[in-house]
Amino acid sequence: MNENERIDLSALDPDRDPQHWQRVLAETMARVDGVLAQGEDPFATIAGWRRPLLIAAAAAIAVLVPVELALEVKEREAEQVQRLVSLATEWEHGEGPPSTAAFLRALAAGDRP
Amino acid sequence: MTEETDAELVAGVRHGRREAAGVLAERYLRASRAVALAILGDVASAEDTAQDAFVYAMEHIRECRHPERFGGWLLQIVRNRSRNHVRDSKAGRHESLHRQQLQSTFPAPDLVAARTQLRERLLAALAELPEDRRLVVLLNDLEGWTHREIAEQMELPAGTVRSHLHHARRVLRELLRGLNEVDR
Repeated sequence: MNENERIDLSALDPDRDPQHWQRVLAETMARVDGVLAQGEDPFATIAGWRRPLLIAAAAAIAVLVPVELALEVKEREAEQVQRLVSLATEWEHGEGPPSTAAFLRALAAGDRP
Repeated sequence: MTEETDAELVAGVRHGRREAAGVLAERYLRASRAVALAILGDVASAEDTAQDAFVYAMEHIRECRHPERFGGWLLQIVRNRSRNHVRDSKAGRHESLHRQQLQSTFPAPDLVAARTQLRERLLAALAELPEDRRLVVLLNDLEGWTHREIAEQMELPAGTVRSHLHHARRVLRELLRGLNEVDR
């Protein structure tokens, strides 16, 4: 006899009594319904949020960092202009032309890190 | 329509989808029963254990680290629960009682009893095999799983699956032939 042939195990097949097997499946699903109805436990829910939260945080960083850098540059430029304006005002009020050092300091005002 | 993968079904169960759990039950409850039967040697206990294991798996679905390997994870739960059941119920004594019952009930008077007899005879023959061989022959010859599917789900090398199957079939044929001769 060929040993590659299957052994007839059909006497153990649950489909020999389909009604019984359908009952087993139905009972199993009734118990599963109970499990699913309990809902998720809060820790599992929080664990489920981890990934979306990380993605949202990464997106926020990707947008906010360049905006912050751009704002900082603008701020430095504004400070530089303000110093030059105040230097010009002092000159106009008769305090004489600004020294080279004062002029250079005004120009360098926005370059501070 | 494309059949949903195990990973998709596990995700569905995690979102509370009953249909996803239903498909997983249709896909794996029979195999769970076969694995439990291989260890317990008793159909009713195997069905109870398979059912308990499946419900436990649904309850702890978030612990399934590799959803694409849900089947293997579930069958491992079935194996552990079946072994606990054997340990708790002192299976050795149960098995010897079971065999005495088999001998005392031959020959059976009607068709139902004849079917039961055949089933008990198969179980008695299977009981002579080591557990791994019982598992492989039940999954292959009863559940129709391929060598590859058994190897993947039971985490066994494919060569071991083939070897288990070959030896299991040879021993079962001899035992079943012997039982038939005794019966005449």
